[in-house]
Amino acid sequence: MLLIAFKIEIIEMSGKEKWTPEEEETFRQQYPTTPNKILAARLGRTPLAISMKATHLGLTKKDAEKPASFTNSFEPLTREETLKLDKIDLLGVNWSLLEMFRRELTNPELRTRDRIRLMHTMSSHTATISAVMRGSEDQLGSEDDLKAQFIRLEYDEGEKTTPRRIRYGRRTYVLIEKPVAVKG
Amino acid sequence: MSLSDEDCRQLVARLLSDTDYALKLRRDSYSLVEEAARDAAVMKRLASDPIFFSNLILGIRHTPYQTRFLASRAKRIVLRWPRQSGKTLSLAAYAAEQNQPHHTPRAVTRYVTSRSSID
Repeated sequence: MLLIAFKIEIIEMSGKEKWTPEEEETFRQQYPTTPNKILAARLGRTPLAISMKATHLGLTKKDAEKPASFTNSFEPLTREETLKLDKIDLLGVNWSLLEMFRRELTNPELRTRDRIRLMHTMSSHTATISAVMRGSEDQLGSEDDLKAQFIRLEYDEGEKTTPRRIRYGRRTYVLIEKPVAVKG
Repeated sequence: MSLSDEDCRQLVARLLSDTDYALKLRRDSYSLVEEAARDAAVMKRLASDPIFFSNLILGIRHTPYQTRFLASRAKRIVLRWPRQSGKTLSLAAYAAEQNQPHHTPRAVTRYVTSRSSID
């Protein structure tokens, strides 16, 4: 039998090498908080491979340590406090508030729900201060409606209530029982 | 569609630097592919890079193991892949790339050892 030796290249299907311990450690740390697509690009694997590896290691996205609750670090002014300030002071207060809101809104760990609440609060404060500066707070009607300018932020541990929304002019206000926004 | 020289230069530069862009361009605007393929640098790359040829001309996105096959210059190649892994598709792409007009024509022979679809 005549044997002829050919140089043959064998191409196997296994695409990527086995996971190294370092890669596994990185994977364990980042998987709970990182989207699969991003992690796949970071580790040079496919999203499916990431998903399979997580199943193999018994990891889930629920393992992520989420912040206990959103902390509102703002102390909004009450209507009475607002009325005591002159317009220049109010302008300064409003500017500072907007700066603080803007800074907080850029926080990457802020959840979408809290971001929306924060934006509602910011809008409400601006509306209040603008109304007082125009000297037209009476446009807002009765005392109950004035209270509506302040939004109570609801948190995970707080009682769940559905605020009643009203439209006044171009703005939507949320009616609450107390006039002052509550801290987190 | 006719591109200005500057646009064509930018298109070619992007094509040569980003292989995924070739796939996207072929899918979205084939007329631009025809424009770009007239460029000398693109033609040279098409002749030398089977992956680029496959992406831009055939519009096939290859898996890593298929890429290794297409990039191989060996005379005899054994593909040890399971069923439904893209052997025929890769071979077709390989044959198309190997038999471009500027290449010396080569016959591509396929041997299948057994029915690969049997589990």
